[in-house]
Amino acid sequence: MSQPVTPRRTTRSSAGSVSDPASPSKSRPKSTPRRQLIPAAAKEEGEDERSSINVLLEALPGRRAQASDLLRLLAPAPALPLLLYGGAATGKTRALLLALRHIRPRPQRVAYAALRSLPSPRALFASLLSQLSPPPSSSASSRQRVPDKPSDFVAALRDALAGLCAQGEAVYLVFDNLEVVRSWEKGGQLLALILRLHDLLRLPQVVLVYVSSATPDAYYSMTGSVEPNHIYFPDYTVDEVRDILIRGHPNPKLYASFLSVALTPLFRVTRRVDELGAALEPLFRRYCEPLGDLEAVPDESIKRRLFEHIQPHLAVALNETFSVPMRASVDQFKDGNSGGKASTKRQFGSRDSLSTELEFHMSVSAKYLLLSAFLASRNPATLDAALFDSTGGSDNHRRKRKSSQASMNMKDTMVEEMLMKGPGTFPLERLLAIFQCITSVSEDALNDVECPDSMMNGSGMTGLMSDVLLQLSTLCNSNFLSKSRSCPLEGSARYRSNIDEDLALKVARSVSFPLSKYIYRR
Amino acid sequence: MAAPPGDAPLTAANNIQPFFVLHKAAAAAASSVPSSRARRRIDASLPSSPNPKSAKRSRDVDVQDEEDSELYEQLRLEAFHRTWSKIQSTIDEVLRGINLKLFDQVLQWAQESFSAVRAIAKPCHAEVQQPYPLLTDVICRRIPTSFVLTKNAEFVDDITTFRDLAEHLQSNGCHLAKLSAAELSVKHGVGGCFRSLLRQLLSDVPDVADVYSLASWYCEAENYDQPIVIIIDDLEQCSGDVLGELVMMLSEWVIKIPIFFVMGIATTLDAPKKLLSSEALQRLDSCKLTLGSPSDRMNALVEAVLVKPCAGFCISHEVATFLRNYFFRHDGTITSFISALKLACSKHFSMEPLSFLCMGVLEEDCEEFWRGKFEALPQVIWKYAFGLPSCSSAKNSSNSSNDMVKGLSNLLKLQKDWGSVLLCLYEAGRHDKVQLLDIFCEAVNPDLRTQNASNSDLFVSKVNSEKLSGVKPGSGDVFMAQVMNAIRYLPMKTLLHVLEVWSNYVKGISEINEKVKELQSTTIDADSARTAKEKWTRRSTGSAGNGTAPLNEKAAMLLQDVTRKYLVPVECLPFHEIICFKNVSVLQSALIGNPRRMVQLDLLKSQSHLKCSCCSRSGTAVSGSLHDTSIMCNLAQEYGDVINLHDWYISFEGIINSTNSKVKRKSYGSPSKKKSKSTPPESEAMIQARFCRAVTEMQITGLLRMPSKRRPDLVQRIAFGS
Repeated sequence: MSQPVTPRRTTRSSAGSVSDPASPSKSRPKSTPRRQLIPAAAKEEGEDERSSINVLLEALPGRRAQASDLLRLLAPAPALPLLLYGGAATGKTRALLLALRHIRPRPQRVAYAALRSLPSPRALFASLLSQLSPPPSSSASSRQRVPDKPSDFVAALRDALAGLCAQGEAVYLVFDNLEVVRSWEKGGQLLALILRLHDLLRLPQVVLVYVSSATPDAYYSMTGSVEPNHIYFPDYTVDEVRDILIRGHPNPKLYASFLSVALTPLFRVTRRVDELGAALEPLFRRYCEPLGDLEAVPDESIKRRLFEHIQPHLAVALNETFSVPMRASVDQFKDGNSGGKASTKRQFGSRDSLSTELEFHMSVSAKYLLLSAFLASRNPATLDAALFDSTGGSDNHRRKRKSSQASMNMKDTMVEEMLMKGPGTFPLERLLAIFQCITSVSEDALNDVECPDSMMNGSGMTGLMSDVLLQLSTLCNSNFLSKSRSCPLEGSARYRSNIDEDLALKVARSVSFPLSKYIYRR
Repeated sequence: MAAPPGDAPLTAANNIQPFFVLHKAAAAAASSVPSSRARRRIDASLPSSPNPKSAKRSRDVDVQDEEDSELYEQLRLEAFHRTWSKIQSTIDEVLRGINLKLFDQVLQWAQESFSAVRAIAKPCHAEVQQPYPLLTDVICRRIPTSFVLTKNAEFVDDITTFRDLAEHLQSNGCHLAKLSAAELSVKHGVGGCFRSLLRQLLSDVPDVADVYSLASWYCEAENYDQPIVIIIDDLEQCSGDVLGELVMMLSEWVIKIPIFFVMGIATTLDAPKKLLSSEALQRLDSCKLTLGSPSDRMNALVEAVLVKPCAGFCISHEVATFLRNYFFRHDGTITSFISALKLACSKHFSMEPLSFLCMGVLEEDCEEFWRGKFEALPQVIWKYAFGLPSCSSAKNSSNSSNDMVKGLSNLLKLQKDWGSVLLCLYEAGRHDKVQLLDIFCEAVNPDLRTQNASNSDLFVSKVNSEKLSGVKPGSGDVFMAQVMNAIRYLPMKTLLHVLEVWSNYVKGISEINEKVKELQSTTIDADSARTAKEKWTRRSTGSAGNGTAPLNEKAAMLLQDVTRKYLVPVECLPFHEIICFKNVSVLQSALIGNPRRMVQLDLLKSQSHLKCSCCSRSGTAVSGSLHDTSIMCNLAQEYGDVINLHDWYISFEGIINSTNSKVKRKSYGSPSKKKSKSTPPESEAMIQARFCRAVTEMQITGLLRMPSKRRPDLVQRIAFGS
């Protein structure tokens, strides 16, 4: 197996005079089945181009058109840059990397920059230059001359490339994840620079390849640079996805029968191969549970049995893929078979409302504070007086008496507006006032707070307040409240509660506080 | 104020220094003497001290007393240090024990994920360093991530947990880096965050921090075959964008550089969902691990420190209730519970003259220790000891040191029995979710004793759930009754387990031990006899909600009996004042601190602190010789919630000038050049400057709010009352 690899390696490294100190060889010996395929192709190199293309096409299921386009557009150093685009996980990078192995004449040097794994423009410059710089210069010395400014970078890049191009070699510069740059600081400028490199360098041997999940319109509408050739990678179809997933599976028959059940519903949720793979993996484990022997080829009756076994889990998974699968692997095993039904029920029931217990510890006063923050964010400030007057929420007649139909309507629209806007902000004073009201009104709170209060008689209010401020910072730290920047008019900080009603209800239940009485609804 | 050197290492642990220093300035000053020397001094001076019983009274008794009191203060301080260090080490041990289980789980997870990643592909060094991704058939860009749920909204307790976790993983061969919320902030961005990651792993960080340098570092032989674990201890506080970016970046490399995340979550699993984008979430291969909940930890802590007499220090019912309420209602962290306990301990040793005797518990032969101490006890303390309320109520006739030693030993023994019985109760109740702290608070209640004695018969005969629900909370023994009830309905298997644990607990008390053994043997007999009819038995116990098994009844009776006999609250025992801290109000005021009020009080009553001659004469009137801020504060008392600046200034000026003129008048009388020179008449500007400074100082201490733009001549008072 290693024999076919070696000649290729030597030819490569001798001809290319070693591309990169870090990676002396461009060929990737691999533990996967394709490991044999590619060297096999390499053996026949120069003899039969057709077979080489076939190998490439086999390695890229469902990407026939794109692969042949790639080979055509890459092979003799093209005059225009190339842009590969398409959704995430559609095989852009993979197709490109494989195609670069198969083109003739063989590319002597490929500099690859995955912009996602580079934290800053400087890192991008450094990485590109170090890939292009001749190996003898040790990495340390080359790193010291990392240019800061884009203009310096272009100059340095041209220097590096000019040396290589003088030898008549084609040099490929690959920019992967190009869309990431847009969110960088000063990303627009950098993006323009990267796209205009072709014009700036004016070196015909340099081939620029961009890989992006955004369409060309996103880039070329505003810059005046040359429009590149582009290749579109559409999303995979179900059959293609099935082919991809089955490849290299130890028991393809079993997996195929599993996919025939599971793939179609999941495919409606997401078409990304990586997401599907991740979602299917635990399901397949479930699917195999009743089977003793994983090597066995299932017959019809077994298939039916397995289908019945997997069906409830499938329904759960469908919902979960949508709302991010977050299953604890430990729990999964513990749940065993009983967990299936329970969790199914939970999913179909009103979300997590069945688990009424609060899952974490919080002191009672923090809970009350959280509730008052929730109320302050949820209720309009004008209703505070009605809800929290001295008699508490119990006396509603006053509110009714005061409000005519018209004013009620107005309030309704206002409340609706507030709901649409999301949680409102409130000043600290309002929060503290509500906190005091609900701790003093709630019967249970009276009972609860009695002990500490009677003990804190000496300090009275101040003792309570200093504590409350501490709790407030705790709540802010755990993201239950967010503190906005100070309001320009009032000057004091405003807060906003981020919790949803479910959590608020849970908290209220744990201190047996009648929260629903205080939430203003239309 | 500098911390007393003897204290520093201990107080640093819990950061309650300010309290200690503020309230015990004298002791703090004294403690600057190294304790070993103090000890020697005591040892040397004790034999030479005059026999307290001798009738001879000399004039230097006072001096002697003073010396004595200083000596005993030293002794108490030493006792505090020793006792607390014992308690502290116990606490540390307990907490570490609880965490260790989680740590091992995390380690196992890391190793499993590492082998899983390596099973996908095992890239060689050259491949790792290539800038482009590996082409594998398996699509793998998911970073193994374990979410550690800390189950406490408050984060303080978990800082040490994660630190220990890091050490544990590191000692087991993982590469480790910790990223804090401060590093994962928008300000630093993903670049800064990655740089700090490199700084923790690489010995020298290159100029440009990127993944390639990490890759080449990872390829070094000594680094290669271990996973890299990144601990993020408070996920909620991180910036979601930056973390998401980091996740995306590292996920591309996960096959080449196996980096795993351990993220601490204080609240629920919703937190990462809310924080991260769905794309970043997809890149996490997550599993959930949970830390012991705060109440579990609290139970373990209470058991180790308060129930098992680990250092001879205990707390009274009131204090226990206060601490419990403080924990559940106000703070909810173990850290503050420990610091409150420490405060209680330090207060106890600083206030209770005889508290140094607690140290005896730590000695091998405590009776010998006590006897030695009693022989040397001065008359005053001696009298005090037998005047203790707990002692005088008991029928002690002869006040001899033997009595005292016996009393103390007895006290300890009873405490120990009490602890064992309490643990038995807890063991039975834990299946019914009874918390040890709750039951502890009931068990130390001295009223319980009297109640129990009166209505125990009634209690035994008809406790049932209906009656329980009618019992008002707070009226005595809710939790104990719950335990008693619970044991009647325990399934056989659990009951057997409980009995086994009991026999372990009550080893020291032979009487109960025998009974438990007896009970156990009967169950075994019954079991073996019943094996034939086992099915029937199981069904009966399973379905029987009404009829309880006879064994359960017996166990309940035993527990009842034992509880009545041995569960004697510490406050009912003679000499308990020596080891038991009772003063809630002191503890409370120390805990709450209330700094603003203290500042105001000190400013208002500065005379009493300074004890200067000039002010004592003037009595209530404000004297100009006071500090400016103090004068201003006194003047401010005359106003309502707003103070007119002009009026305030006028009266301030008046006071300053009146003093000056007084001095001037004096200086005319005695024409000493020095005096007249020292008090030149204050210029208007000077007085204004002093006024401004004083106002600013009061603002800084939070006593008043500066004038607003709308009403520029009025300041607002914030602190009222005295």
